[in-house]
Amino acid sequence: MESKVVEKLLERYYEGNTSEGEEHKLRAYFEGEDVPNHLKPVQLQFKYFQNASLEKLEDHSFEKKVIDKIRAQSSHERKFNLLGLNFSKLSIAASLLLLLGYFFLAQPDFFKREDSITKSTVNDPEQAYLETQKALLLISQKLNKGNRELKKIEDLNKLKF
Amino acid sequence: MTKEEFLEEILPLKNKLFRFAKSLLGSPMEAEDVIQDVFVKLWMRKTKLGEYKNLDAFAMTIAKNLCFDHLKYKGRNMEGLEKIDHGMDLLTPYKETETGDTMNVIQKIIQGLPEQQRLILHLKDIEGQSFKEIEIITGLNINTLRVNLSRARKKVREELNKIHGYGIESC
Repeated sequence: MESKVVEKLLERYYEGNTSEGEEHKLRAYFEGEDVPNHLKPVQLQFKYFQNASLEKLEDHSFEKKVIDKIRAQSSHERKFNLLGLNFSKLSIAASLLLLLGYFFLAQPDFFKREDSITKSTVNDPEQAYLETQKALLLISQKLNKGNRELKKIEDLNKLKF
Repeated sequence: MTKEEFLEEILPLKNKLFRFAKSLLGSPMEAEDVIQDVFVKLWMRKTKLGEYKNLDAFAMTIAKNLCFDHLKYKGRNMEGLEKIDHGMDLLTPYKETETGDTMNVIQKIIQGLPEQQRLILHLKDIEGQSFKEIEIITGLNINTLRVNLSRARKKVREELNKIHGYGIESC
């Protein structure tokens, strides 16, 4: 390959635009000995890539280490699974317990209170009727008071326009 | 997947994974440790491994994630101490005589690149992987990949030219 062609390819290479085929050509070119001086640094760069791609993990006990790690991990999980529960199930159960515990501890009289609200204090139905009427009257009074205030605003609005 | 199949099909990826982790972490010992964890993770998912079309890329993705976790963890624990020597200052101009030296120098230049660029340069120029595969591994789109790759390649050229003194014309 002519060095002109190579330079064109390199230009594209440095822009990140070379295709796999073109990069293959460049690799092949720089593997040759016949490289002009000004392209020597690039050749070294490609040589580095080539060397680096051949590097191997030189550890003969690697497999054994992996298997040991896997064993350690799975025996750990098995212990956890003794009750047939996994971590996520246990955590759901724990948070439910916590919630219920809080509920009963913080409001021990929850059910009693509900009783006291709904239980009637008046035994005579007539009396109860009168009490209710009184209460409703009070509410309607308050409502009317509010309405009167609203009426004022309405009048004000009329004045404006 | 049985243990035998696992050892036969997955374990041979170890060299490639190791190179990748070493390039990201800069230390062969740490790389080996992380790669062991990658295999443990793969084994834990052995029942699902068949579903992945590209096991290779899947393993590389796990490796990438574990390496980044490791770097984060390390960064937190040695704040200000020695961080990773981002080697540019090691490259005071000098004329090396042996090719071996240059290889070390190039390695240091690459080590000095930002993580993302280093990762992409490694996958593309050292492993010769396609953009498609690198997209899967990094989750980045092709334009981002090209831009980062271009920056990484130019940076290597620039630093190398600084050392060599005789520059090829810069474009």
